Amino acid sequence: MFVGDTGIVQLDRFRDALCAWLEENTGRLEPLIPGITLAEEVRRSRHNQQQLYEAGWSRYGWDELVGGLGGSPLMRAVVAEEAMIRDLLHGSSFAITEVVLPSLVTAAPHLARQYGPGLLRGVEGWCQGFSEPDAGSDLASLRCRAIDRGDHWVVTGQKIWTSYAQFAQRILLLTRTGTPESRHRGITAMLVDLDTPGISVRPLQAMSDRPEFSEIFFDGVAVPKERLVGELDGGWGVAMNMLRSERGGIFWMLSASLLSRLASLVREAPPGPADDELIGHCFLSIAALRTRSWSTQHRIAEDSMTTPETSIDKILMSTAEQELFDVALRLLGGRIEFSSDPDADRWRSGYFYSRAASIYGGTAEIQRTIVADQLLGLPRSR
Amino acid sequence: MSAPGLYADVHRSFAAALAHDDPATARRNLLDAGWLDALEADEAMAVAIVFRVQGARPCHAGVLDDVMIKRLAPSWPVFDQEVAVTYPIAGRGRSPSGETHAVFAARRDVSRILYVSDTAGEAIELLELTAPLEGRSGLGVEADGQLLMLTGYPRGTVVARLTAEHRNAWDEALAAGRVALAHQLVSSASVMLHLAVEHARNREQFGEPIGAFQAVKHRLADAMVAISAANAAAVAAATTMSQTAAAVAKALAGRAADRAATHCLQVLGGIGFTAEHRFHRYFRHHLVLDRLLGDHHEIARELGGQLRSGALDAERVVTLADPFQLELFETLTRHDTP
Repeated sequence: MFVGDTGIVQLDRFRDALCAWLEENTGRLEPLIPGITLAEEVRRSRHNQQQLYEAGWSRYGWDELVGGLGGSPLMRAVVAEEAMIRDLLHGSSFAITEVVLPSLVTAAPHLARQYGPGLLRGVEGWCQGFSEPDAGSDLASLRCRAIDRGDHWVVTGQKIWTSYAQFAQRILLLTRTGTPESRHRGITAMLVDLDTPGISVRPLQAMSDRPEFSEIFFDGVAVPKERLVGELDGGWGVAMNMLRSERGGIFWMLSASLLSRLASLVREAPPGPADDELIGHCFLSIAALRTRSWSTQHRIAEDSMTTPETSIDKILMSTAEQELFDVALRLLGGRIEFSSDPDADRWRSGYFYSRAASIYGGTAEIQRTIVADQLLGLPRSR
Repeated sequence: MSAPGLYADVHRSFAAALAHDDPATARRNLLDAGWLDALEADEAMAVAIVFRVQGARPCHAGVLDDVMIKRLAPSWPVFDQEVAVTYPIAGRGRSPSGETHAVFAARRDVSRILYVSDTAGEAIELLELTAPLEGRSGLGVEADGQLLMLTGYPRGTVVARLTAEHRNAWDEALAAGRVALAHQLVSSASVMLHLAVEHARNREQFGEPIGAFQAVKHRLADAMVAISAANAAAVAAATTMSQTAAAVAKALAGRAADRAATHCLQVLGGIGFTAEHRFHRYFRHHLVLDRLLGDHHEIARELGGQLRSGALDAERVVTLADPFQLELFETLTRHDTP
């Protein structure tokens, strides 16, 4: 199905069939309408993920190991794009599937087989335990310790700014298994159940008035050895692969969502001819993300994209998202600042969340340094 | 022959053809090297390569005329390659000497011209010249004799007028021309970045290369980000050939070149400001290219107006079903990367 005589997936046919299904099945889908809580958004998003899974759509492009039907990974990006512009997914919460599952399939097939389907179906939520209070942009300095106790590890430490951990059942955790000075060489990745004794998750209220992330405390948490992802002390490579995946299909989905947000902004707060240049430049910034992401999707699918190159996509993403909400702040003329109706609340939470786009997932500064050092070959700072 | 080998061969042959200072000679060489056949056979590749070579040199061999005329000719069969296009310069406030249009100097010997009043395609005429084309070169930032500036309506008789039925053809010609110019802007911006990166690696101050300073790194990274987006947009527009994608590609390329020019001059410092360093040639070149067929602010206004009218409500610019030519993309990127 959707595969032509040449063996190449016919993405246009796939997209048309998907769109037709989405039209016919609006009754069983629950869009993320304005005025609902974050917890309700996550619940609806998972409900819609289940519907997409049961109808088969979200299984295309995934390995059979995790319940997938095979096919090009581009099919996943098409499903995410079409679902996102219909407000059927909570982007950041859904994103974890794209971030974690591809790495899990290669680095820990046994875990992918056992736990992957639950994530893909939307039955479970996972989160990504990278940042720590003293390890943000300098991720290689993380300290959350895993001590070898024969058949299991004992994990002690803290993670912070972990997106949507309070809604998650499992965490892809980066731990320190080498010496404190071993930096990127002594990091090990593992998949940990968040209901394991010794773990406490504390949601953090963000400036958007929503609990966008949590801090997580690990106090002598026993993790079976079989939960290892990748090699012992090989967690840095796993993390880098995850960053590359994060900047693949998710940014594609985001670019579609930003285009549709801009169109709805123009409908809700009609600008005048004097604003043409402002909104035109905003359209251009989103188109910059989108065309770059188009080339990135294809290059990732053909395995010809390196992780440092995806820093360019990250910078384009944060620039476009912030520019869109800067324009919204101007055109809405005070509604974000002074109103509390469902539509205003939605624009406001989007506006605040966009402020973090140049911070999470690697700050704008670290991305620029990566571009300069690794792509332009400029000398390292002393 | 494998595709990558073919691209590299075409690139080498077109670059050799354009390595002549006289624009008319460079154009003849390019025609001898099979430019028009290549344009016919594989437009996306031929245009990408020729315009990137032009941007990297920098020069103008009048090939933009060929790209535009290819789109007009099928529905308006009054053309042959002896027609040159006049490009409107939408100046605000007229110069006393009255420059209104630019023509590529490589085409100075033509007998027919396409007189384009404005890029919207409102009044376009094909003229049979009754006297040699009169124009001045070396005006403004253009110092290499690559452009002729027309100061009034050329002496000639109208052979044909573009009517409403050809409007689509004009829109397609404009889109094709914008994609071509986007490629040329991307490679000019890439050369500017290349020059600045080389300088930042070698120039030492405070006992270390200035490229080790984060303030310098981040300027150059910003230039690379803008150029990379413009590069992808140009390739995407060449694939979809939609008017919106072409407008996006031209505007993003103009914006990227503007950003690269600013950041790279700042990093090059005093030496970059001199006439002896070749940086200024690319700086001047990008100013000219951005103006042709609509500068990036003008195109932003154009897109903004379309957004307001609802014409872009369902616009996605490019979709994953649009085919991606990995080989071409990688060849272009390899030639452009510092």
